[in-house]
Amino acid sequence: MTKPPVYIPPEPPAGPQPPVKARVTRRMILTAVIFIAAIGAVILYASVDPSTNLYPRCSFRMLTGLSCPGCGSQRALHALLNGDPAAAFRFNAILAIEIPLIVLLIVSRLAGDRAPRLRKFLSARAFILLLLSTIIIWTVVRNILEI
Amino acid sequence: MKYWIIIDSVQKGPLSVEELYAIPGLSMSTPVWHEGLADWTTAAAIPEIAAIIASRQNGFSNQQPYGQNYGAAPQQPYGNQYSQPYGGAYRPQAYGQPQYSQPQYGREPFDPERMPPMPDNYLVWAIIATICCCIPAGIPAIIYASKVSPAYMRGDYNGALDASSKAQMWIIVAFVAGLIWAPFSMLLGLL
Repeated sequence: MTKPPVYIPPEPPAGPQPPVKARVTRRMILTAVIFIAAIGAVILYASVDPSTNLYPRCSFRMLTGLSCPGCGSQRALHALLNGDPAAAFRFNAILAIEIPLIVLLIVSRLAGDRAPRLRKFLSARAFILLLLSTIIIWTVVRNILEI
Repeated sequence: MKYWIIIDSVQKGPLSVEELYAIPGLSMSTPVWHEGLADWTTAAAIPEIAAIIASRQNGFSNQQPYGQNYGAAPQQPYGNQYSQPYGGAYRPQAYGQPQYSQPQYGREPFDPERMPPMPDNYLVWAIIATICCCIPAGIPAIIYASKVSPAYMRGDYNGALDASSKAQMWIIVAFVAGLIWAPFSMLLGLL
């Protein structure tokens, strides 16, 4: 069998190394944009009442006359940011599940490998399908009860 | 192919890629030699070995087009200048190659040591899409999100990646449709 040649270690680099430039990645830019947009949205939704002003309206509701699972979210967000969770719940009850869930998913993501069981639970098929059926049942119920 | 390496001034070899995978001290600057080379080179110069190191360094954060580097801090014993070109360029497709003894569509049992991290299921974005875009596209996004983890758990990495990218696609559809709709609905609100 062929033997490897004798290894001669390379000379260590002489003098101080130039500092490694911090690279601005697309991911960082995207994160910054989303973060700034989120802050802007919070300020906007806190200060202006969506039910009385020029805000985007739900296409599903305009086309079908029915409420979609997200209808009332803008008014609920306004109520929540003005310290009225009861009103927020009346505008869109499913946000009471979805907002904590989004927070939990972000926490799980930030924790990464430190919380493997949480991540496994939140990405399990049964859990996500339960969430999906909750959203669908909510949509049916709210249209029957007109809430 | 068999490789010889030098770790902590000790020469080891001949080693197969599978054996190299089990060596913890392997880095981009580890001296490597194989038959046919006139002299020693570094691990960085051999794609097969560089892929092993890159997969370790990128860890959790590699397959996430959105969001920050959430994963654990990458292990970079020799500083950034060695690992940067590989850290960015590495893609999970390399796992389809035979050196991981994983034929094209991984049907082998789940082995976390040989699988790249689980692809993102974008569940947060799927939920947000169902809340604020008012477009039914959020529903298929959630369905595909539910398929990522089971596919990954049975060792079907490509299936997981496929479900992940379909979830991502439906989220993009929902958000684009929502953004196109928003100004229209604001104008209609004026009428």
